[in-house]
Amino acid sequence: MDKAKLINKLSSVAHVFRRIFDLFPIGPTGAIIAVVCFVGIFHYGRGKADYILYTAGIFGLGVLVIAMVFTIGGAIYVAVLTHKKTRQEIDTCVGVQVKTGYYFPSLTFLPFLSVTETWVRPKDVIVEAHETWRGFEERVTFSGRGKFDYVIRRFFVSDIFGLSSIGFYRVFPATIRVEPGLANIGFDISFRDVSREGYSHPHGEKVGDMVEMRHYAPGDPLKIILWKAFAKSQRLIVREAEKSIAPEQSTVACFVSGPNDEPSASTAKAFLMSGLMGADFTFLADGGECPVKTVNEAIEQIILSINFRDNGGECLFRILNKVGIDKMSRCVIFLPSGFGGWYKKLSTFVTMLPTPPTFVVSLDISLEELKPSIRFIFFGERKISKDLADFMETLQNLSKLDGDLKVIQVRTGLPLTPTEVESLKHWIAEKTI
Amino acid sequence: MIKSAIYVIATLIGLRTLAPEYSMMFVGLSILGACFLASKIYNLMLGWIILLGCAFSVTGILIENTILALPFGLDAKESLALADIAFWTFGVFGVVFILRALGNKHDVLSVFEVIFVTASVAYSFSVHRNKQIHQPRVLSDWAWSHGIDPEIILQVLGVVVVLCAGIVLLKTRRLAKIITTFATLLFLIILLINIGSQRLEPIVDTGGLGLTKQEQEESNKKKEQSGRNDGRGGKGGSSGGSGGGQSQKGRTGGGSGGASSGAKSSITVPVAIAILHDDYTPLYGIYYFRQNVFSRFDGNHLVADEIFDTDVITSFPVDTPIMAAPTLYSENFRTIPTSMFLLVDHPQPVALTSSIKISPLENPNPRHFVASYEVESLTLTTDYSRLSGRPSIPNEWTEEMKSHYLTIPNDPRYKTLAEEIVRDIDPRFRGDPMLSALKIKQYLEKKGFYTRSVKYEDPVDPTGVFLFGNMRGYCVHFAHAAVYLMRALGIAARVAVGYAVEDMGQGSTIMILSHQAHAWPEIHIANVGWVPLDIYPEQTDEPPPILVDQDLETLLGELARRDPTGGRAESPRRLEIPWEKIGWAVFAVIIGLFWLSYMIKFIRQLYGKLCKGKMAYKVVFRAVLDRLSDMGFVRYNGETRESFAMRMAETCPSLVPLTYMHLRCALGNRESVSPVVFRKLHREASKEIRQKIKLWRRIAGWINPIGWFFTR
Repeated sequence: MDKAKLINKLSSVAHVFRRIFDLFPIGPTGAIIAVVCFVGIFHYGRGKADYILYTAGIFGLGVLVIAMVFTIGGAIYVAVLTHKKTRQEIDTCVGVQVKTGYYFPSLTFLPFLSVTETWVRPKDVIVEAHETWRGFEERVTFSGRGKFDYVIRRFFVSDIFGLSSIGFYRVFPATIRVEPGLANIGFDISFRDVSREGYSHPHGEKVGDMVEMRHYAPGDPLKIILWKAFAKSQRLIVREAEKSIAPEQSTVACFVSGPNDEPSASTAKAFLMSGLMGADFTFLADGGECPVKTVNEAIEQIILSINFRDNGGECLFRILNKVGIDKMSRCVIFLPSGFGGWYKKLSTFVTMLPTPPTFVVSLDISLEELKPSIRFIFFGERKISKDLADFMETLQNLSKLDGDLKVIQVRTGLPLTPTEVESLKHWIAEKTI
Repeated sequence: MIKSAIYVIATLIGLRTLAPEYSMMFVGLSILGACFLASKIYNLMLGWIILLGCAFSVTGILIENTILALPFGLDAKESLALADIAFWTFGVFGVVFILRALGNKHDVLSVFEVIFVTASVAYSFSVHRNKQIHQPRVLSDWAWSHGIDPEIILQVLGVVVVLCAGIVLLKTRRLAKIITTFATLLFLIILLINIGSQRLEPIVDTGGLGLTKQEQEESNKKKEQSGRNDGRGGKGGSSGGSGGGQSQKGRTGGGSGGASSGAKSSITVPVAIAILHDDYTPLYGIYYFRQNVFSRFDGNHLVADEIFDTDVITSFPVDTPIMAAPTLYSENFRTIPTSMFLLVDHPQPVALTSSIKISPLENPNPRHFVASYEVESLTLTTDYSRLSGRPSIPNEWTEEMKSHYLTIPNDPRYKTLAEEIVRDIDPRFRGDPMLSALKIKQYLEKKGFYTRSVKYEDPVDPTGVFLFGNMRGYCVHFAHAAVYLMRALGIAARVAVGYAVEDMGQGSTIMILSHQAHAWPEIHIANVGWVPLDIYPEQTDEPPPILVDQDLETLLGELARRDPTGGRAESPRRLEIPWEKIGWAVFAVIIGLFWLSYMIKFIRQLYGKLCKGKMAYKVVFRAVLDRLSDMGFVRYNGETRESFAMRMAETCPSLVPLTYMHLRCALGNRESVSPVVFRKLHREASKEIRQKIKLWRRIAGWINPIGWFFTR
């Protein structure tokens, strides 16, 4: 059996066990306390007439039983109150906290009980409960894009000592659309026009031919005044450089989905929304049938591409077929941070292109976070997260391909300089920076 | 903070008996330090936490050894003190650090904290176990002298331990929840008070004799179990007709059969108190408190019999006295009245041999005594040698009775050995029952080896295995062997079980301990009655006898005599609690706290208005937050300052720029904003509060003394 399938199967079995275990009203702490209480009562209390441990054992068990009774009662109460299922509509972005409008009982003044709630599906979401007079108000922050038509909520009723707990699940109809978060695009960001070394940032320096004419305004340099025109019309006319526009009108962009592609999705969305692709672009994300030319359609494709993470890179050949090789002279490819099966497709794709493409890879950590740990201080070893290790593998493999590699830090919106990229590689390889 | 306090108190209580007093202060400080450190670095890996904690503890040991090895110019006393301080301070630091850090890291691991706190307290007071009600002295003496049973205080301590454990396990900081929960717990305590305060009986090991009710029930259970397992349930049922007999059989099986209960218990528990109402010194230095006798041979060993042993009282008196059948002839005996108070439940009354009348007696202290009764006993006053020359079996005994008391295992070796033992008696006295019995006693004492470490599991005749083997065994084996040998010579004999207490000049109060459980032979002499004839093997591997705790003996004796102080005071000292002083002190503390709170509030506000220095950004911001907090506008848990400012923007718009400026200054750019701007914003904020918040709320804010406490 395939390893991934086996893991999936195991995780589904674990999930079933967890659901069963959730209904069992005694937690691990409660079970241990019960054993300790029984030892106190029977071994020390009845066995050796220890009055402290006997009394403590009796009352400990009493607390445990009461906690269980309260928990079971509380769970039934919460289950009844959460039975009504109203459809919820959520349209948000990754990383933005939104109120879902859903309330669940807080049981504030009932002793022993505490209620928490999490989402089982969609998974990539942080749920916070804010107490209001109506109960807990649910606020969610998505950490992954996607579209969902239902929500599975897990309600967890436990006592405040953690002795007993009951968890149960409820499925609610919902219409949820989560766009990628908007990366913080800095003013300095630009991507090189592969064909003509031009710049297409709307806030870029004014370059180009001195073709624009307008009336003089105080502060304009004297040398741009058109004295000939002044001589004819007695009006001060100045000529200035044209504003920067996309020197190449057509950009072909692809979004390859794969492991840890959320930062790239954010960057792609930022590129699209800030017009960095130019006015005329063709975009296709994994899972999309046809290339699209509008920002909204492109974002929709990015959202849906999350379902094709396991088969990322298909869009590269599809766009080649649809657009044709002659229009692929300016190609931008947004790549996931995690290394995966998409790389082989990309390496084949690159060899088919007439000019080297631009690879955009995004990183969702800042270098400041890579502080030396205690482990490093003592042993000179670093604990590198899997995401970071995958990211470095991606970088190392991409550097073998013919193309312009841009590594963008999502948080700052700034591209890493080649020196920074090299030092990061070195940091991981040599365990020092 | 509260958890740290619980740790400090529990640990200091636990170390009360271990660590020297002068190290306690350092230990307390080290616990606080450990709690603080654990709260900061609990994010470490599990292994690191344990390693770090162990390192602290090992450091303590190393420092201790270093100080002891290199005294650094200190004298021996100072070196020892310093070494002790280092050992306990670092050792406790390491342990507490591990426990707190683990508890902080994973909720489940808080269980170890609970166990630690409970174990610390329980260990410190563990000396009270097994009915040692005079221990610990620090508690017991005070409690008894005030007429309070220390067990009640220990039970209250148990409840407090549970409450502390609850605080240690607490997973919420919501005050309303905590208050309602602990109020419910108090209600629970009231409900469970009856269950929690019931008297406890420790498990008593009477060396396999099965004298206590617990042992008897356990033995019966085992019998039933083994009967079911072996498919031999019929055996138990065969003797089921006589309830007492069945139970005796089970017990004797445990002893003579050498079932697992032959092991010696190291714990000794007081089982009864006897108060003599007349001067009495036992003839051979041993008080025999008999509980039952085994006379019927059931094919394997001797068991109790209800038909023939009518001279033994085997039931407790309820309303009227119970009399034994008159078989003893009083000219060789003296009547001794005693009062018996059982501390551990027994199936039959325990009484000084040989009891002739048992009358009911009101229980003076039901918390400590299970049963109490008056006994009239006939004790032997005639020397054994003066009992010679009399037959064993009187003429009036029926054949059935004779057969009952003379039945032995169908093994000719008993008779052969018995005859061999008495062979060298002077021919003039040959056949004399008393002299023959004494000869057998002498033989067994000389040849036998007293040990509790052997088991005889022969299903047919365990006594034969003992007697014709290496003769290593304990009282039950010797008693059975003696009885069989005597019966082989035609002497009526039986095994008596109960307690044998050595006469140590105790006075009128005799405390009977569990390890004094004993079995001894009794022989019948015509016109005299049943006479105890105990065997004392000369060789033994037993340790010296445990000394009776005179203090406990006196205490129990006085309790039996209805003295509520247990002899600790003439009359219970009234526990005087200075309620008036306490009230004034509480009042003063409350007033003081109010005054302090208002002063802090006032100073923080004033400082916010007057401060012009570099810290203006901080104090001005704090002053505005204080005012809002006074009126109940507090930042939620997890809410950022910016979010709070945005939330409050409608009520106090100036808070938004104030928050951002404060943030800018706090992040290091202090020069970017002038203190003048802060003060201006402060004034504006005050104006906005005046305009937009209702008067009653502002008045409540002025009155509120602790609003600043909730400013975050």
